[in-house]
Amino acid sequence: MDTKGRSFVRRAASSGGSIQAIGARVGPHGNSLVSSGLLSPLIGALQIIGGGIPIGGIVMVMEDLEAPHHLLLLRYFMAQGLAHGQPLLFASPLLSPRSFLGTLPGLAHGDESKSIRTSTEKNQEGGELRIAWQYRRFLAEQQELSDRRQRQQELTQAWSSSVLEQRSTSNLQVQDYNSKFDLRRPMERALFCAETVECVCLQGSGILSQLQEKCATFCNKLSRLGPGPQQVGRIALQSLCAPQCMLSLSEWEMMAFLNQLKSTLRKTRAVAFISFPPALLKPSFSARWQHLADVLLSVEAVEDDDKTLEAMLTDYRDIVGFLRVHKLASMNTQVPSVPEAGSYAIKVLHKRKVVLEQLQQAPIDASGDQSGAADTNGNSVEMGLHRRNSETSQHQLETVTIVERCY
Amino acid sequence: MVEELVDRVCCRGGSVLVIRDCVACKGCFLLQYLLIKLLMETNIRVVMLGLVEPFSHYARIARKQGCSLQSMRDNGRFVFLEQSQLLTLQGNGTDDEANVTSFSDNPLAAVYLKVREAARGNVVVDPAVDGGQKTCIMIDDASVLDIIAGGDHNFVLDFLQYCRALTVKKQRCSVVLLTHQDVYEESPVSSMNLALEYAADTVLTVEPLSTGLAVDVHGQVTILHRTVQMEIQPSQLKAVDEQELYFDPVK
Repeated sequence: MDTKGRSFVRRAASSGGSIQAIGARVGPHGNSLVSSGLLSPLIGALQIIGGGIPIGGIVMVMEDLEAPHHLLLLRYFMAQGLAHGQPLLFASPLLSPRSFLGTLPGLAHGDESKSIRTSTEKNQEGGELRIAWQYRRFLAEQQELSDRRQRQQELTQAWSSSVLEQRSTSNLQVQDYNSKFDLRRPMERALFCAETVECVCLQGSGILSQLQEKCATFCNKLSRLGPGPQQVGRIALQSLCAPQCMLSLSEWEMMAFLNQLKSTLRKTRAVAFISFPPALLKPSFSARWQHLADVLLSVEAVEDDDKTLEAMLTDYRDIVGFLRVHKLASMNTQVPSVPEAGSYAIKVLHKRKVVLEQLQQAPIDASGDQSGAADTNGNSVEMGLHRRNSETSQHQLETVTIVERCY
Repeated sequence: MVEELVDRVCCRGGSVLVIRDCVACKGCFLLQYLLIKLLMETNIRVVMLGLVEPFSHYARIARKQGCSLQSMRDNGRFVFLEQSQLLTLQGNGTDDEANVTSFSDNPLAAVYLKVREAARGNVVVDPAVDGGQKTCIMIDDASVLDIIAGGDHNFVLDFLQYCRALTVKKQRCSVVLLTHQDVYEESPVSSMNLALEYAADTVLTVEPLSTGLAVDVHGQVTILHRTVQMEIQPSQLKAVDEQELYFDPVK
C-alpha cells in the first residue's frame, strides 16, 4: 500500500513499545508480557500477577527464612524460559549454580497428551469388548446420524471458518505462552546445558563487578534497538543479599547495582527475577529494594498444626505456603494495577505440579479474634469497616500533630 | 486543592514542592499531573531528571492526556535527562568545571552541571514577560540521588539547594521532587525526612487507604502548605489515564 498519501504514519517502535517474540504476548499499555510459569486452575494462568511479567521489568520475591517456597517460583520462572528457548543468566550463592538447574521441573505436556491418547485408545478397545453384538447395528445408525449432522454443521458454519481459525491460533498461542511442568520429571539436560545459559556463583571477592559485567553483556545482546532475532532473556538472581554475597559489599553498592540493572533492563528485551530475604536487610534498605521492584511478591510458610487456619481454609492439608501480591507492574501507565486477589495458596498436587489458588475464607465475626483475619485476603465486610474506622481516626490525629509542629 | 499547586508553588521561583509516597501507594501520578499542567497551561520550561522510568513511559501517559512530550522536547519546552546520560557523565570525572566547583567531592556535582546546562540552554526570552521564561526542575525520584551519592544525605541536600538557587535569565528555578517516605523511617530516625520537609514550601503525602487499594479509590493525598496557613484536609483520589485526576474530599 502506498504510504505517501496517508496523513497518519506510524513512527518506529520506541523503547517502550510492544515486542513480538517467542514466548511473549501483547499486554496492556503497549507492554509485552512473558510468562512466570505459574499456574492456577481456577482463575486461569493468565490472571496471576497481572497476566505475566512485563518485558523490561523486575520481579522481586521476599523470602521467608523458614521455607524455601521462593525456590519453587524461581524454578518455574527459569523452567518456563528454558522451555521457550530463551537465554538465561542465573546467579546464586550456591557453590555450583549449574547443579541447581538440574532440579528444574521438566515439561509435562508431552507425556500428558500421550497418556490421554493411550487412555482414550484403551477406552475404545474396552468399549468394543464390552458392547454386546446385538447392539452394534444401533451404533452404526447413530454413527450415520452424527456424520450427517456434522456435514450440515460444516455447511452452515463455513462462513465463520476464518473466525474459528483465529480462535484456534489464539488458543495455541496461549497454550504456548504458559507451559505445564512436572516436578517429578527433571528438565532435559540439553535445555540447560545450552550456550545461552550462563551461571554465576555469588561467593568470593569481586562478585558484584563480575555479576555487573555478566548482566551488561547479557543485556547488550538483547537490546531493543539492535537487529537480530527477537528473543526475550531472563535474569534470575537467587538470595541476592544473603550473607555469603554481602561479605565484602556495602548495602549502597548493592543498591547501585540494582538501580543500574533496572535502568539497563528498561532498554532491553529481558526480565529479571530477584529473590531476597528482607529480614537480613535494614528496614530502610528493604523499602528501597521494594520500591525498585515492578512486581513485588512474598512467600510465607504454613505452620504444621495451625488449628485456626485449618478451620478457616478448605484443603488446608494440601497447602504448603502462601504467596502474597504486594505490587503489580504499572509501566506506561499511572493507574495502579489492583490485584484481584492479595493472597494465593501454594499447593503441590500429587507431588507433580505447583498450583496457586485464590484464598477462599469464610467471613469472621468482627467481635472475634482479628489476628487470623488481618493477614489473609477476603475479610468480612464488617471486619473491613471496623479496621477502616479505627485507622481513619488515627490518620486525623497524625494530621493534627503535623499542623502543630509547622505553625 | 491540587489544581492550585501549579500557580501557588511551581510558578514561584525558588520554591520546592516535595511529594512523598510509600511502597503501597505510588505518588508518581502527581508528578505527571503537575508536568502536564505546567506544559499545557503555562509557558514554564521543565527540566526533568528521569531517574526511574524512561522517556517513553512519561510520553505515553502524556499522550493519553492530549499532550505530546516529544513535540515539547523538540521545541525546547521540555528537557528530559535519563539516568544513563547522567551516570555516564558522572563516571567520566574529567570535567574541568566540576573540579572548579566548590563541592567537587560530591558525586552529584556532575549531575548538577548537566542540569544547569540543560536549564540554561535554548531559553527563549519573551519580551511580554518581565525577566523571561521560568524554569521548573522535576526529579523522579530523589531517593535514587542517595544511591548515586553513596548514601550521604548531605550531598543530596546540597544538590537540591544548588538546584533551588539556580538562576536562568535572572529567574530562580522551582523544584518539584518525588521521594519515598518509608526509606527514611529507621531508628535512629534519619534527619532526611525532616530536612526535606524544612526545605519544602509544600509537602504532598500520598498514602493508601487503611483498607488497602481499591478499584475506585486508589489512595489519599494530604497537602501541607508550610508558608501559608491553610486548613489541611486529606483528599481521596483515583488515578485515571485518559482524563485528569479526580480528587474527592473526605467527608
